[in-house]
Amino acid sequence: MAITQNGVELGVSVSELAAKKIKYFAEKDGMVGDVGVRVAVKGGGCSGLTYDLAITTEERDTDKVVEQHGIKVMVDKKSYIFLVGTELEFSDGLNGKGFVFVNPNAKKTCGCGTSFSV
Amino acid sequence: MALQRSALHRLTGGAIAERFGWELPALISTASGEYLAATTGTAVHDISYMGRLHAIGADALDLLNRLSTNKVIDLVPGEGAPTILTTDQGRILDLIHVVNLEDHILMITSPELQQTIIDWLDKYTIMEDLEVEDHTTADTLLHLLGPQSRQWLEQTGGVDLDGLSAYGAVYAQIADTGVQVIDKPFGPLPGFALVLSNQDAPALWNNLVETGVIPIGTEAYDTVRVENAVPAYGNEMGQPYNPLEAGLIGSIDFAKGCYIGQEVIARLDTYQKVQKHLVTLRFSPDATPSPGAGLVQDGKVIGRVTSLGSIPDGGDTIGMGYVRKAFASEGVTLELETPAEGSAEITGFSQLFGPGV
Repeated sequence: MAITQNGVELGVSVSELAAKKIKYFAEKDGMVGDVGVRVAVKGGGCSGLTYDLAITTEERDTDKVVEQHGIKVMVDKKSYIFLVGTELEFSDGLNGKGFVFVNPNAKKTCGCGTSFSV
Repeated sequence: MALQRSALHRLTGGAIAERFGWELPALISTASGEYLAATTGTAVHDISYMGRLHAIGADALDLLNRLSTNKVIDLVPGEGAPTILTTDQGRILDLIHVVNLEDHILMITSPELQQTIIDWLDKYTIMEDLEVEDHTTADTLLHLLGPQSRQWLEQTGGVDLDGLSAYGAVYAQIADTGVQVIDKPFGPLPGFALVLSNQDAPALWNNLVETGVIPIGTEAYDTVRVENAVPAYGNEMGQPYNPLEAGLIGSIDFAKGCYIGQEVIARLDTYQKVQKHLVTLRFSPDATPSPGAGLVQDGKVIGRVTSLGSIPDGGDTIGMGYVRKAFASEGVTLELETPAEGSAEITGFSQLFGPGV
């Protein structure tokens, strides 16, 4: 299933800075090959659903894959429903450093931003 | 729908009444004998009406850890813990007893809540390796309780309890019957849940009775529950209440990280925003309380009775109730709201949690 807007298929995107950081962490971990990031949703967290992020080179047949800024963003089919239109960003502000999910589907987000409900 | 019957239905005897969709013995011998056994000796109550779910799969504990208040992710085989499934508003869905039995995770739920919990877990299972099966009628669950229950298991039952951790389980043979023995105290009263096959249940039941364990019905069990301030679903637990009000702070891990409702519960605790407390009550001899009756001070209803119990042989009428924080102190006397008559004295708090603790 693909979710589209104005005829364009929506996926999960990644900002340039987030992509740079993913490549940096992958290199640091000694990963070789096509580096990507697996973005998924798990049950739990303060608001009911929580994000799960993993840097990986393993792509699955059933994944929705978008290539952006030199990395692959992989999303499994079930998580895709909750994540469609989400942008993965990287924040290095004083308020906390790390990957941030900007998810248009999230109606409510918890204080630390890792959990949401739809 | 036909009422459920346990594997011991014909054996327990006594006056049968309907409860939780089951035919259950209300009173088996005498009220005073049953009460005395549970409070001074060893009693057994058939709690097969409580829900049992088996969670199978690599992610079972991980998911439960993300959905409930206690830290269950590190439970190794043989270990267990009480934990509360909470809504995103921090309200109680149910207090469950989780035990790692190696090939599956056992969850003992409140009566009639099995399907609610299956649906709840299913809602939050996205990619996890997890299957949940309802085993409520597939085996028998007994509650051995009383100050002598440990001694009975060790000396008469021949069970080695040295390796049994709090809320954990050991597998044992009792009178040639394979039994999963689970530490399941009833508030401060020692108790053990025994899980065994329906087929073996009658033989073990007979063995318990022959060796002096007194079978008790739902009435004595409920009185002992109220006396020991153990909250019950529907009376003291459910979505109107949060775990801190219900005195369940012992089942909350404040350092484990996120779970559904965690922010609300942490805030209630940090800013001391708990509005009411679950207390134990002793009614005056002339009192005519009923569950739901208002508790009054200076003409205002500041609490409600949630459960009642009656100590046999002319003993006190006792109860539990929620009382607004400002009035929830031991020794405080509250009037019963008319048309009920008489008064109630607060005798303590549910579990070990009171204001300021």
